[in-house]
Amino acid sequence: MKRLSKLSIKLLALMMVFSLVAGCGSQGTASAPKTENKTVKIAFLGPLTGSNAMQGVGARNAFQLAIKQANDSGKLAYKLEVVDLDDASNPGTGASAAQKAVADPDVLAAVGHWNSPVAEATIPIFKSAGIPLVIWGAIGPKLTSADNYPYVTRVAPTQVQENAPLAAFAIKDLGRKKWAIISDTSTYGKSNTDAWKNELAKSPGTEVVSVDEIQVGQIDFRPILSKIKNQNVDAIYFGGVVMEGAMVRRQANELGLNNTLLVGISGILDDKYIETAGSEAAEGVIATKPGKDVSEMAGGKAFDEAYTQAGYKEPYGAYGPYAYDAANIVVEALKQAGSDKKALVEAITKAKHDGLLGTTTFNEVGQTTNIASTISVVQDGKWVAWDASKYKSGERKLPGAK
Amino acid sequence: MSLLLSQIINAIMLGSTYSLIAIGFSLFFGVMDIVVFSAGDVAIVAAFSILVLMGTQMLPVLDSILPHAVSSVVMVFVGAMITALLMLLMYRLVIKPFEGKSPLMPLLSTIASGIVLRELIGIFYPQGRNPQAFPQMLPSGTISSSLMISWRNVIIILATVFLVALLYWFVNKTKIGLSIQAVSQNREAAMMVGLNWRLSILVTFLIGGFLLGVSGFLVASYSEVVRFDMGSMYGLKGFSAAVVGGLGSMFGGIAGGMLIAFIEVFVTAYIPGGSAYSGVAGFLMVIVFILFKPEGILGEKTVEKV
Repeated sequence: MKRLSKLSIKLLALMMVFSLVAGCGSQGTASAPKTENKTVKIAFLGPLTGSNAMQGVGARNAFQLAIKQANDSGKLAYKLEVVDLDDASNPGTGASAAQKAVADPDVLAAVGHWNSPVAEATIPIFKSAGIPLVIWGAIGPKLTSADNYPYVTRVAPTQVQENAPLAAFAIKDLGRKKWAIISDTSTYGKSNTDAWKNELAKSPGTEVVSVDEIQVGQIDFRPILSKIKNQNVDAIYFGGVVMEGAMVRRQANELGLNNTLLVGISGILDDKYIETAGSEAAEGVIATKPGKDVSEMAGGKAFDEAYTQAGYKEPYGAYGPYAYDAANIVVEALKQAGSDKKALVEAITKAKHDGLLGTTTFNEVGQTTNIASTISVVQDGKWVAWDASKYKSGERKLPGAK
Repeated sequence: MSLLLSQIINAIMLGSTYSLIAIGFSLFFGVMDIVVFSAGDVAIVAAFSILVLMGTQMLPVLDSILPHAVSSVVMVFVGAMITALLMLLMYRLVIKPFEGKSPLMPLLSTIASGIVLRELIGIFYPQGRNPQAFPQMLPSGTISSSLMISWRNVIIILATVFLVALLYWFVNKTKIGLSIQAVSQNREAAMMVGLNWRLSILVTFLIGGFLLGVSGFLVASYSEVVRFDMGSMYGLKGFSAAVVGGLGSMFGGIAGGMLIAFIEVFVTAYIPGGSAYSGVAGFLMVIVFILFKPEGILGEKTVEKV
């Protein structure tokens, strides 16, 4: 025990010396970007294992692709290297991953997180290290704030931003008025519940008949669904993630709620959702995806081809393009600012990036102003953009459609 | 009224899955005086074994010679046999070496082996840490849509009743079952009258493992999704049910399982905002029981031996 603590003190001292040296070096040459032939590292953080691994791995691949393309372009004077760190959707694991990232003096920027609670845990670490964090997938509204500015920026819309177009669609276009809300007890679920209630409160004639909070990892939703069935709602709003969302749909059908529409947040928009729920049960589930469909994005086709060509086995998922754009924003900022962290932070906040998602700029708290969104629906075991679906054309009817 | 009835059915169904594992705990506790804490993980191993078996050509082959229902039962039987053998192996590796030593040791060794099982699934099953859809082996239609009763509900409840009845018959009416009882009541006396207590213990672990296997199948069919770490919460609920009902008592396990399930379901269904606290309410009740009725609903009052 004693030996261990001595060792860790030595390590800590070593780390401090390193960071001091790094700090000194950059102060002297702040104006001129450093362009020696060296390696610059960018950390990627996300859930690479655990129940959300499919989101994290897809984004990691897209991120790696962007860095690989930047290296191959030959326009960089240094070699970029990806440090991918698993946060396992767990704040504790995420914090130690972030510590690992900031301890490496070559890591100049980080792109991270799909889970808001994990981002909450790592933000103070990046802030105190002065390393910019670009969030690719965590959508808790409070992550980008005056407190965290300028170190934290985010390319993904927040839940509030994400819920608004979904609510407008479900209420105005689909005419659903009577709602049951099911969300999980995490920060993600809670702010979804609040955002959805808020949206409904803005539309007269709508009502929320029940709000249920579920625990992540819970396996039995029949008591909640039995209650909801008795309330004859027009639709169920689900503000959680894949596994629970899939079970809710399956168990709802078992209880005879086949004819009740399920509308979900982007947390369920993943092929794994359909796989877990079964394509029959998932048919007609609606979810929103921030941004547009990859095929409709400028450069989307090239991205898709490059991704396939690079040989990644896992699909890039809903958030792949975000991680890809986040990576490119960091790369561009590095070009302008060089390895000076302060200049890099500023360059990121001032970025105006024309990427897959369209033109991304950040507002006064580092939140993206780019909130295009696409409504998707499950059709024959696939997520299909609403506008291209048989539901839109009237060939099929959504559950509970009049 | 129909809502109340369907919530009762929900609770009985959930209670059935808790009861089976609680009986498993009680069986092991009865003959060995130890708590086998890996029971929940062993049950989930059965679910994953069945998942693996379903991926092989076994089911189509069976289907070609047997009716589908029978071949499904055979699959479940094979899955449960795997855990029965696993349980025997665990007895040999992590329980037997500590016989006659402090009961804390097998407690710790079974907790540890449970974690080993859980992590092995996570590591070696393809994408093992992700939730896996569990094949619908039970018929999925509804019997009564207004009461929300499906065939699955009925089969899960009937399967539990059948297993419990079978176990009751085995323990009370067969020679080996009676010798298990004798060993659990007084091992020295059982040895003196010439019973093979070692065999009784092996049979208990075999049966207990089989029971856990079926319970794992039922819980997976019930949630329709399995994940490698589901066993820890399931085991904890089962153990709580066994304690509340009276550790060592078969019907106590059922009573305890039902009580926890009813509390969870009714807190969810009838207390506004209660769904977030259903687990809390269930375990709170367990604490109350430990405080005021430590012997459990059907357990015998433990008298301190002098």
